[in-house]
Amino acid sequence: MTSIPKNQTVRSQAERNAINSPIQGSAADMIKMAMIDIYHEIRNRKLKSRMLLQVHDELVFDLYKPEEAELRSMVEDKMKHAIPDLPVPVEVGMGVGINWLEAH
Amino acid sequence: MAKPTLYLLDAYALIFRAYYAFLRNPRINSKGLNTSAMFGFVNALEDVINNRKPTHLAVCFDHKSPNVRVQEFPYYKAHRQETPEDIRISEPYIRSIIEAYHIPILEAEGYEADDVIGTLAKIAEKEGYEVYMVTPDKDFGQLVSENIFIYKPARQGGDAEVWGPKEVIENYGIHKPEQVIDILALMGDAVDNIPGVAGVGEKGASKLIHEYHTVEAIYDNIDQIKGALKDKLEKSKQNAFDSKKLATILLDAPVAFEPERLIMEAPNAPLLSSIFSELEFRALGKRVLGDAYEVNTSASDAPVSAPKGNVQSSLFQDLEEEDSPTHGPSKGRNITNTPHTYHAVTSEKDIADLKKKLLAAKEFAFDTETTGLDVEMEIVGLSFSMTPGEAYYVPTPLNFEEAKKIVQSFKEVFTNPNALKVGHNIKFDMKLLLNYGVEVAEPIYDTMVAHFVADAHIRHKMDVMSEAYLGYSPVPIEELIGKRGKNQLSMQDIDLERIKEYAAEDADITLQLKTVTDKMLKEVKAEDLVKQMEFPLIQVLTEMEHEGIRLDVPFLNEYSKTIGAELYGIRENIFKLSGVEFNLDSPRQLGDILFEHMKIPYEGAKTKTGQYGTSEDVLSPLREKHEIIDIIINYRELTKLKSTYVDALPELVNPATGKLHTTFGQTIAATGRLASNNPNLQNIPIRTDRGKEIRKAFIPRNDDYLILSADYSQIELRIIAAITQDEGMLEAFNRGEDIHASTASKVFGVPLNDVTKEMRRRAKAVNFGLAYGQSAFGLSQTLGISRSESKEIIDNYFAKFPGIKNYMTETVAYAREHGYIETIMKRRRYLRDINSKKSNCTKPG
Repeated sequence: MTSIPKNQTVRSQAERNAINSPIQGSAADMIKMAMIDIYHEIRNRKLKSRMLLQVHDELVFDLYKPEEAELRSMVEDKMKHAIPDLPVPVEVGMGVGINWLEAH
Repeated sequence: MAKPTLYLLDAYALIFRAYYAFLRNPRINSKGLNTSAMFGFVNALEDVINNRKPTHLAVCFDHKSPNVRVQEFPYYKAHRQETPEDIRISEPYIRSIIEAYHIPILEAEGYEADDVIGTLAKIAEKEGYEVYMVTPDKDFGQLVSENIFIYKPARQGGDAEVWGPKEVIENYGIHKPEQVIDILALMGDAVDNIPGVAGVGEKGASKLIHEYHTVEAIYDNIDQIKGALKDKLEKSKQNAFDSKKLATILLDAPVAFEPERLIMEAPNAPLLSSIFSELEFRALGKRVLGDAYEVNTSASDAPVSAPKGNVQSSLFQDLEEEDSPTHGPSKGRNITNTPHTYHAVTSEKDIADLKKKLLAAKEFAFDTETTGLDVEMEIVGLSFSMTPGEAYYVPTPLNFEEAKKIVQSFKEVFTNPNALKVGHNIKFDMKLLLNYGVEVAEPIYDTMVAHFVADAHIRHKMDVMSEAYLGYSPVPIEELIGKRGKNQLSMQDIDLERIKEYAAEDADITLQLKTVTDKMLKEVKAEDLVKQMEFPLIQVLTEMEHEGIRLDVPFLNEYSKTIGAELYGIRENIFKLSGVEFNLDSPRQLGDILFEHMKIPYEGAKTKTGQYGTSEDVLSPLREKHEIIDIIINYRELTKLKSTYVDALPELVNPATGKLHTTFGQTIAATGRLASNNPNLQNIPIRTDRGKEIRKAFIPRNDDYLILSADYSQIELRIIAAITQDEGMLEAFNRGEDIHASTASKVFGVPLNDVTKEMRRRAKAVNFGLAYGQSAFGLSQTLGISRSESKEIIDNYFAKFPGIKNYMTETVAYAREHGYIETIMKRRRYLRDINSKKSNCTKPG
């Protein structure tokens, strides 16, 4: 039985990282830019709703009920256009509920 | 009058139980200390005090000296030598907690806690006491009587149990409690290394003792016993008699019963408060000491600097240790041999002068000194630096309102849009300042974030960076606060000179580090990235953390009970299937039961300490071998869910705000993704229904609000399409097709409408797997198909999506050439190992 030399394992891990990091990293770029835009939009519009959590590719908000329509469309817009000129359409799933499970 | 009640706590048994209960998700405080044992012990103690209201109480420890049993049986308690490091570290804390409670600690040279408890219990019984032996250890069953009971404190989600003679007799199917010794002599005790009779478990022992009453009688009548059992008994005869001796709790320990010493007293609240504070017991501290208790705000707490990168070091210490920067100027400079001018700023006039200077500056570094590292910590001083080597320290009064006034007088400085505010882990300071009504406005600069962006793989702690890049060793905190003790009470006034040197130094170093990180950012061309993304994000995260999310604690408490009940049932089931009761949370015991007692075939190597592995990787493949495996895996998942989330989340709620304030980590994941801590949101299970329930606990702040969730859909695949520019994939997305079905249609060569569920499932696995460098082997594992089948799928996939194949080859080539890769926003990740030389791989082997 042949065992894989250690450096080869190390290197193929590095190769996987080389392939995967631009994807993960760009997804990170995207949601970070969206968060910054949304944050400023909430401030500028003096909304009572607040962005609370970021987890994986998801943002979680405390939504002030009267602001539902406004927040939904603003968040969707900012998330979709966080990175300009992307050659693919970006889709955002949205939900509202009395708790996170129901909203997700 | 009711009898006086004496409660005797079996310290180690309770400590071990607590420690193992949290083993998979230990409670770690901000200093990296594992506090599971302390936490569990205090909980057990509080259970006894509040629910049993004892008149007399003592805690018994094993004495450190060699045990009388060891002289006769050297192998006895051999396992105990392997007391986990964390428990050894915990013991002094637990001892000081007990002392703070004003509870006497009892121990006797050469004897174990069991013997001390047994001896005292029997004496106290004669003197008219009702005695409760507080322990999870059933061996104590041998001592119970009309007036002596075992009290097993409640575990989370369960109820406490009281065992008297009836319970003991029923549990073992014996005639009188003393026969517990005979049971143990036959079945042994893995924890204490009591050998017992090989091949005889609890059930077998119970049957034999039921019939013959004693070990001696069994051997006297050995001829009546037949077959394999007789062989086993005969083989282990010596062990059985030795075990009987070992299992017998000694009732002659040299310990005096002094009831007046054991009368319950009120605890020393300030002392207890400072210990709890150090351990960062929040909810528990409040429960014990009342609402006035707050972590790390007692006057005796010396100021400690903000956690400069502590979160990172605790999470990634092992990984990063090797990568610590060793280059840079040599060490040797420190505050004693480096010229510096640090000012203490106390008078109103001096404060006004300082503000004037700060308002005129284009950039300044600042740092906050705090009472500790807790969420409820308070500011004790601010430091500023505008020129290298010169810094200012402004102490703030102990009184919050007065401190707030001073802090707020710097509001203009912190909101000045024309000055760059520099910090190291600035989010920490910004969040703290928010508690004082001061918002730090952009532009801001964080030397820790900058350093992370420049190279994610080396450590970002301030002192490490200072030594590496400035050749300067900052004043260690220990040098400033020295030993903890009463003499620190007034240190804020007395030692201002020394605090100033320490605190001002932080601001000074931060400013000097900025020169270094500026250069690093330039080298990796990340100046725009930090300006447009990482630095502005700090403010966003600061507010999110400050805001927090409301948690439905009653829901979680209820859910905890439900799971607790379920776990109880599962546990009983496991014991039934295995025929033995054991500590399910001890991997060693579990391994011994499964692979020795139950003889389930074990595949794989034992651990370094000679244990069987019981990780999921080991157990999973054995599912077919015995139904117990599935049940154990299920038990583990539920226990983990319960301890990590259901029970842990309420503990994290900040009593002041009633909310959960997660900490977001911007300098943790090398990919650039955000991490979160306390709790780690990424790990909240979403695959299982039970896991999903956890999300129900996250609720809107009040009835005027709802929760809105906005989730990118298939963002990684869309990014793959964008980055690779693969036409087929771009087209599918642009046409709004179901991307996995569309992939399946191409890979399997069928029209979109004819794609079966299975085809779609396979295509989905390929979509997700390949971009991560998954091999044909990996794919065959994921899909449960043969390797040749999966290879065919992959070949087809690459043929249909040539852009993806190209991307993979080109990215690796790019990484080889440059040593890094880039994201869409030009964030670089350096890949040191990408050029681990082929020379090694092509070696003949």
